[in-house]
Amino acid sequence: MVSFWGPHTDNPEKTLFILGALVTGALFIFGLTFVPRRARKPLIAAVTFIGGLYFSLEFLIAPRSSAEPFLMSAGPLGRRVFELLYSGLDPDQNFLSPYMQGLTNAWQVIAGFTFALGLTNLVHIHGKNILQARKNWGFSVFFFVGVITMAVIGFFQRFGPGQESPVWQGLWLIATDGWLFSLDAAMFSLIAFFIISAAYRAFRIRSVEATIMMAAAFLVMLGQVPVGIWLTSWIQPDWGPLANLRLENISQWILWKPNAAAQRGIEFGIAVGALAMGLRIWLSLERGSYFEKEV
Amino acid sequence: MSVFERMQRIDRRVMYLLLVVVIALPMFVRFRLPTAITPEVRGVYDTVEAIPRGKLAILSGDWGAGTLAESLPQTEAMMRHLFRNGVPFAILPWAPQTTTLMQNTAERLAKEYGKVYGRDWVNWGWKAVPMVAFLKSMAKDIPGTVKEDYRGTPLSELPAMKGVKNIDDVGFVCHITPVGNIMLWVAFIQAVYGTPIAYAPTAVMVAQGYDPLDAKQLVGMLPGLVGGAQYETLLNDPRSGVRWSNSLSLAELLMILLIVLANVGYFASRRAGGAGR
Repeated sequence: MVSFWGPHTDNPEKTLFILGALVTGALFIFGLTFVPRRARKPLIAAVTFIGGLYFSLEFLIAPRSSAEPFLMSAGPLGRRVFELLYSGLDPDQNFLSPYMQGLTNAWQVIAGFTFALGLTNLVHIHGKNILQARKNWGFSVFFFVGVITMAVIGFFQRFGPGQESPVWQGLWLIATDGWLFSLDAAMFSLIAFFIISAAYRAFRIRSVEATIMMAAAFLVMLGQVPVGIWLTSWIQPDWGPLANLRLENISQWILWKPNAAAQRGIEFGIAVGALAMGLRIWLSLERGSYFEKEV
Repeated sequence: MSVFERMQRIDRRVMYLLLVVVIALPMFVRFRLPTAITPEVRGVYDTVEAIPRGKLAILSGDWGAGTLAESLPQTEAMMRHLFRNGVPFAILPWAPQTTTLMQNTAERLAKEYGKVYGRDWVNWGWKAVPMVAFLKSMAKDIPGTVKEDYRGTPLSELPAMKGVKNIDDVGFVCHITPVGNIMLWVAFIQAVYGTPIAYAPTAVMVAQGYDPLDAKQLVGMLPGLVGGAQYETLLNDPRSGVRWSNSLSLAELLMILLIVLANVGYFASRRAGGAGR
């Protein structure tokens, strides 16, 4: 177990890394507050562009194993380019790959700070709710109770003095298995009740399309579960073409053929949309409530 | 109110009660319904059977307690098969909750199979890093990307990770998830390195799996709870997946009956000149 309190005698490098990341990150955020308001958006746009450019180029540029035969056979210029860009690299690396590790580490540090930012925001909103006794302020009290309880128990059972003690481990078990997992499972279970009620009220055969959809839904649903398989289990698998009428076979045909074809079409559409959206975000062209607010 | 109108206006509390009864019934009354083994589930089983000796398997997961009823039987079935075949595996959780849930599952099963943490399985722990960046980096350098397990132990100190440098040392990946991000594994790992990848989604996400399956980008799929049940049947070791899929069967049957009832009432009341809802 890692002790957060004592010095990391077994791994001083890690202690230095954590402290270094904290100090650098805090200084960096503090420094950002001095950036003039007009320069903030261009700064974000520049970082987004450079980040996106790096990751796309690193993915697209050929690794050494692919580039070597081509460059080495392209005369002295090719050999010069190879030596300049690829010498000393592993076969699966291009000249951008060695920086990947450092950037991934930086990404983890930034992600850590975004969690802190999110928590600060939540504390601000719920704190105001309680102080101004807004409507449903009681829920905000639950927020603080939940966050503080989970944070304290989680921290002490993992890093605190006496972390191995059955008290902290027991409390952690109650907090996770007892509260968190049970609440999460209960929240999701409610969907079953909404689905059955909504399907009963809304699913009416009012058109040809609705009929086809309902028939397909029934066949797939029944063909997937044991009771559906049991319903047509009297049809023997060795009955030739008639065996195709078993519910699980009809269900499989719908899923593998019409469904896969439709999914493919949808995915093509989504991919083109994602590409356009990615380009808009990468080039900071996106507009809307999140992108036009003053930062 | 006529009978046909009543058929369309069953009180929702009655429906809720019926649902509770049909879901709970198989937990008290044991019965066994037939299970058909579909090709996608068989594909996962055959791939695990063929994992070359000395290669690591990765069980990647981003499920939480919310989808435990589906994701747990899938996870358990995969772990049982890997433990049984002596294939070391790494848990790769994409959420803090998954770290605990998958670790608890592995620890519970390890007692049955006499397996030891560090030697037979490891838990890489949740890393706060986007999936794409992690996959791209991990493919080239696993120890450099993962660094340490969920307890803070360096990977180099874990026997299961000996000799594991990059994705070439991984013989199988199964992504257990309620989220539609399987294509990231396909795009950044399978398409580039050819690593066999299986998909274990929740039932609601199953439809999107058939496209990559058909294109042979996935070796197989465990479709929801039923996929877990089928896998348990293949392992000849029926457990929670088989038992819980009976609850699912009855719940789906109830839903179909209610929809049919409402539609019969709708058509009958229209024919009788009343207003269908």
